[in-house]
Amino acid sequence: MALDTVQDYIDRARVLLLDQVDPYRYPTLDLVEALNLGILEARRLRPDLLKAYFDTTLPDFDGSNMTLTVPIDPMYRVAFVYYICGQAQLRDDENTQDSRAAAFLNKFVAQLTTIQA
Amino acid sequence: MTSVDMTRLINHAKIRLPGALDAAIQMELFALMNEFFQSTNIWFQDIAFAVTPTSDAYIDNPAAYTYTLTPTLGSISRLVGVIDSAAIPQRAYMPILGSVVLANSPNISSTYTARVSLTVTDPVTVDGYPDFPAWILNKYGNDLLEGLLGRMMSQIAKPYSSPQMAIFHTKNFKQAVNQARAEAMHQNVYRGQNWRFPQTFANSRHQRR
Repeated sequence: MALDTVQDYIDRARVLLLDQVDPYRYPTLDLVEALNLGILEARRLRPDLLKAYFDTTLPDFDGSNMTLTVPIDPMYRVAFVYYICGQAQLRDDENTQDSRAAAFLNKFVAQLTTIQA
Repeated sequence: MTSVDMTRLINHAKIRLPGALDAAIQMELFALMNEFFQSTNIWFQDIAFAVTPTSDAYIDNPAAYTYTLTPTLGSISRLVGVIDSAAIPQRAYMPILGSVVLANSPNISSTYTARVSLTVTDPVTVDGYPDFPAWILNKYGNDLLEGLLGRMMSQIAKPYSSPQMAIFHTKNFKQAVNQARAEAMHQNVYRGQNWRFPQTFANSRHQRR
């Protein structure tokens, strides 16, 4: 299935970030950390997405094993790709586009909380 | 394995609740069934239990008057009544759910039968759905769907949130609960017990005393 593992998310995010050629503009660890932040945001916005983690700590990936499964319902996986892209684009460099970053992050929130997004 | 009726109910809910997670539907369904059963008394069980006489007063030995009832499925929500082996009603209470307390000690060792209404409890089925008699879902599936939609749509900040539709569906569910309660009282007999003794007669008779 598409967007199963951590690597799947990072690969998909690099497509949107135009960053598919090594050496990468956005380090893999930064993108993995953005995925972790997305999970934290999802816990706030949609607790039911992470119901299995109510009594335990949330998933936190460190990039050492990129084949780990990201425990997100298939309906909402694309939203996390947008969040990773939004976090990456927030960086202050020559490629940064604030409006694009905002668009990605807003789309993440909208996809989690509305049906029209 | 999930029943056909349960699968139909959940599929209906998924179609009408875009973006809803299975886990969220299951949680709300459990709460819904608990509300449905506690409001209607539609699910009951007759539990036989052995009673033994005692010469102790209740205040000295409450345990002698107390008997534990264990339903085969679900948990007890209230005591409907107790009859003795001759089918004569006996006064009894259930201050703690699951423990029936007789008002009077029996004269001889015997077997009483308690009718208790039940509601859902953990554990749920392996699929995560509450366990209850299949006929209830078969008969009230559409009504339960209304309740499930109402509860789901009343959640805030979800793709399927809709306060207006939540009110609409919940209202339909409440009407169904009232109907189910009446049908449970009549034991599903069509037009059963629809005659009531004139209340004015009862009142005037009471006043003459």
